Amino acid sequence: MKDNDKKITRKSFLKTATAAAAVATLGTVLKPTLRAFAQTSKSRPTESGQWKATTCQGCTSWCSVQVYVIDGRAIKVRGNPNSKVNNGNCCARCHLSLQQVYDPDRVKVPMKLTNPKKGRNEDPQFVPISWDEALNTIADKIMELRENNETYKYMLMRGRYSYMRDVLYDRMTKIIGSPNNISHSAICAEAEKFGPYYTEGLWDYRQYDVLNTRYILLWGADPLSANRQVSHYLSVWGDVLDRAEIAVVDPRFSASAAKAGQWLPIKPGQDGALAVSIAHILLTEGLWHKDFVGDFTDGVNKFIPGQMVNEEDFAEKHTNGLVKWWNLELKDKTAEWAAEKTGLPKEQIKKVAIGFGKAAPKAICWVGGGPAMQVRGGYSAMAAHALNGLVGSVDNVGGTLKANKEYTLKFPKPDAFMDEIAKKGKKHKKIDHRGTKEFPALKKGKAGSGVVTNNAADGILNEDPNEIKVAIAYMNNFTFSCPQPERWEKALSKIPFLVHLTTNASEFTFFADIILPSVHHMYEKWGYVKAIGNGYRHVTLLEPVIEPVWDVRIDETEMPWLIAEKLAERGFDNLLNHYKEYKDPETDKAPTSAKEFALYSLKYATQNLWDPAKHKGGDKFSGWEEFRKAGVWNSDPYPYRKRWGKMKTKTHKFEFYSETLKAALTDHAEKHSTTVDDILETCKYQARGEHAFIPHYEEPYLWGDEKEYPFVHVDYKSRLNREGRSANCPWYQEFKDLDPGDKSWDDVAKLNPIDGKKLGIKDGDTIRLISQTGQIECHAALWEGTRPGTVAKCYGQGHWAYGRVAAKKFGKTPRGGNNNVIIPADYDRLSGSTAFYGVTRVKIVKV
Amino acid sequence: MPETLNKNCQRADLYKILSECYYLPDNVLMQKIVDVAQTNPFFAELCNCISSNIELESLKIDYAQLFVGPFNLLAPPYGSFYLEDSRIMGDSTIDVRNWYEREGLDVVEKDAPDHIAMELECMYYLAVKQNQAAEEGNLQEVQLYQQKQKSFLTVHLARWLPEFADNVQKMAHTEFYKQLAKLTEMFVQKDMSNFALCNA
Repeated sequence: MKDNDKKITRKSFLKTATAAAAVATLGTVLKPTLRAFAQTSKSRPTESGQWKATTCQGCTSWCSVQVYVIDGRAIKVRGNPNSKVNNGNCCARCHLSLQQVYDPDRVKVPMKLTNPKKGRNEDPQFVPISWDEALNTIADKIMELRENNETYKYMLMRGRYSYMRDVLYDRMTKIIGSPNNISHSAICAEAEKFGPYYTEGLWDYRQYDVLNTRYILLWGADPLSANRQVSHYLSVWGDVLDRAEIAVVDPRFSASAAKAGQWLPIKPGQDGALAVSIAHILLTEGLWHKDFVGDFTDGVNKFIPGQMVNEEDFAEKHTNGLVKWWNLELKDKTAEWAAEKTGLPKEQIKKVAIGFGKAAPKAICWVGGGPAMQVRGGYSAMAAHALNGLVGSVDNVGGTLKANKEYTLKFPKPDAFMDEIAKKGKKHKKIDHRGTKEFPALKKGKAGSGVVTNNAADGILNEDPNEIKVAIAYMNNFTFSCPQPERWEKALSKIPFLVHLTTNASEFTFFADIILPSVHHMYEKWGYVKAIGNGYRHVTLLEPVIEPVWDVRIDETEMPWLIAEKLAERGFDNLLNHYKEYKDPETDKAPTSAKEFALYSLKYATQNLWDPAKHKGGDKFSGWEEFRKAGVWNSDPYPYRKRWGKMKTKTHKFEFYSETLKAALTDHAEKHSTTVDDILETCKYQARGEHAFIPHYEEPYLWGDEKEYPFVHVDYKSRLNREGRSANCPWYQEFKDLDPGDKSWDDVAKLNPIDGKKLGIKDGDTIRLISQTGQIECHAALWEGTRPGTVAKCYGQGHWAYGRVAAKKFGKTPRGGNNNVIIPADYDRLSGSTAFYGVTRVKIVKV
Repeated sequence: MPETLNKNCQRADLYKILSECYYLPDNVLMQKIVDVAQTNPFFAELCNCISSNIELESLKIDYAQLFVGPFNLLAPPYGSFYLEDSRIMGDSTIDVRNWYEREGLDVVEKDAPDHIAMELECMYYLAVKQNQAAEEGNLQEVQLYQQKQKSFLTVHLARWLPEFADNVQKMAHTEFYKQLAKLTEMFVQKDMSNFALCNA
């Protein structure tokens, strides 16, 4: 222990105070002794500004962008004109990043907790420490686990990432010896991927060929505001509107609804009903795309409402099980039936279905998180996505496309560096319960291969399957971004040693033992990400384009390297030796420092893109330097219809009857020695028998009794959310009214004026939203864009930490309310996804 | 040593130690404060703050919450925060950095150039340069460096110091930092009025 920490008194100093001290200080006033400065004769060359390429990760669009830098300082931003995905465009979120990187509340130095008690009501009392002290402490804690053969009690939590992620997330966790690397994916939109996977074998987000399409059916997606290629869509939407009809299915009037011909304000959770009804109409009206789906052998449409069809009468082309689907699910799902379920006029349902069908195959059913991230959302995602199969727009011009091919490399394998302790440790069960009977998490057809992010809190709290002793987390804020966040507060308080790698001290950081200051991804980091849009894929670089103000390090590469060095000092050098395999492809030199490692590992992963000798396709560069300056590599154009008949499903076809899901569910049931029906019942689904394997309607699973909780809560994301990281930017607050119905510097719950009148609530009243699991306070806004019977509230506000602007009174009063406080922790268990939409009823009380 | 030079040596010394006070506190700093208080009554009150038993740890906690964070730092120690729009690294920050560079000073501390500690250290440096000129009997240089100090205070430090010091006095938990802020503000104000008298 350093004597610094002892109690000090003036008396103890007076003993040592000498006249010499005074003389000594005087000596410095004729010859300066400098601390913050060094004397230099060189003057900084006056730089004119330069546009430098990097990547915006403010949302998952991952636009390639450029920053205008003068003398090491970022001045302004724009889209990178070299990208064929976002074509020089960027959106408002990108501009907000300037206020993030120069936020006075950023974490500036490593810090440690000094208050031994953890909890929401405890002041953590962090104090600055050196990097050395921080890293030594972390290495000691990891060594302790290794010495006690309990490496499985180590956990890595990942929020947002670049594709350098595996260095920290995968390799470090494995080589230490733990199964517990937990990603955020299941609070993102995994259920959305469930639809395309169990129909066309694609566990991924899609791109949409909007410039070639004639109809867009937007489903719980708001592309002009959030989620994927926003800047591209904002830029081309005018042209899209010239050529295509647009219909928006959303219980609230979204930014995209404002630009659409049809708004279908559906009852929350009834998406499956609308989807199967549209399918019913497409079939009865004979509007399916014959080139893709096939036809009746005699050419006569036998899809007549209520009537069964013989399977032999229909010759399918690139699809599987259409008639089974009709007979099992669709034949009775008329517009009239759907109108009752969805609260939409039957005429509107018919009009949209027929318009969509007539545009086939240039018709996109764009399934966002809305219909999917619900308790039974996996099947709704399947039902809505299946419409793309019916109109033959899958993989087709003007339709829904997968990702183009790219050629980045995986990092070296860790296996040779996993010793006996690591191998044994990794065999333990994961903390999020994936693959248990209750959590099938059927990612890519395999039970237990998806993550159940939000359930990890319960795993930690219940020490099930074991306690977590040492945890590292980066670029995440589960105590804010997961429903029922109080579970995370308790879980994190319970972890004896928690390290948070972050730019801002968030609600999560509040419970950390050590905080390490992370770089801002867009301005200070080496990394890369891949994104699709506009018929292309780009691989875009994150580059350190400015001189960082503070002593920050790169979360995904420099920090694990620095920890590896400390572990090596303690006799465990497997991790460091593994990292030394990431050699610079240009010189074949192994990295010798954290800085070199950050750069070499990136050059290693992207070599096939920039090394002309390794060129496999897409943009060609003369070498690393040219690639780095361009900042982005573009793929070849999209090869349409290449996957027809070659889809990665069990039948290689687009499955309306999913043999792929049947195999996955059967496998999961067998593992737990039970039936598929039992699995579905355990997991809260209504389907039994063959229904389990087809896209079908399930009633919404809503928490709360209708009488006590009369309103259905509608959650959605702000167009200014940089994934929940921008609330401390004054511009975020000032321009909050860019979200339709919202107000600047405020957090409002939007009620239809009809409901406002009933409840006696006026615009601006303070109200409380109460669900079975929590309550929040905010202001009321009466707004026609909310479906009566629902209350719509944007996610993003309600921070009680994160900084001076984000929180109203730090640690005490949030600015508005965090939606997650009133959303119960529940799941679409087949995908492992957390449910955010159509999950809970609430009551509204005037305060 | 002539009296005026001696006086200016003390002035430089005070800028230096005030600057030191805006770094993370340690025993070396405490010792310095006690030492300086021996010869300079100006520091007596600050020195009195460490007369009762205080934990260095509690000073560090207070220091962190005021000037480092990690949450909403209570008294941002950056000029641009007050002179511009609550962000750092604004145009005023770059102006400060250019100022340093004209004096042949390169920022080596990992922080924004308009951090209070750096602006105080810059004042110390300019005062030392004035002393050197005085020693050499170069009156023109003395006047030049006086003018530089006055301008730096007028354009930068003295413009935002009152608001900053006010924040510290309101938000600090320890008497030490309350006193430090008061002392810093008083000292700079006095310096400003002295410059005004000189020029009059």
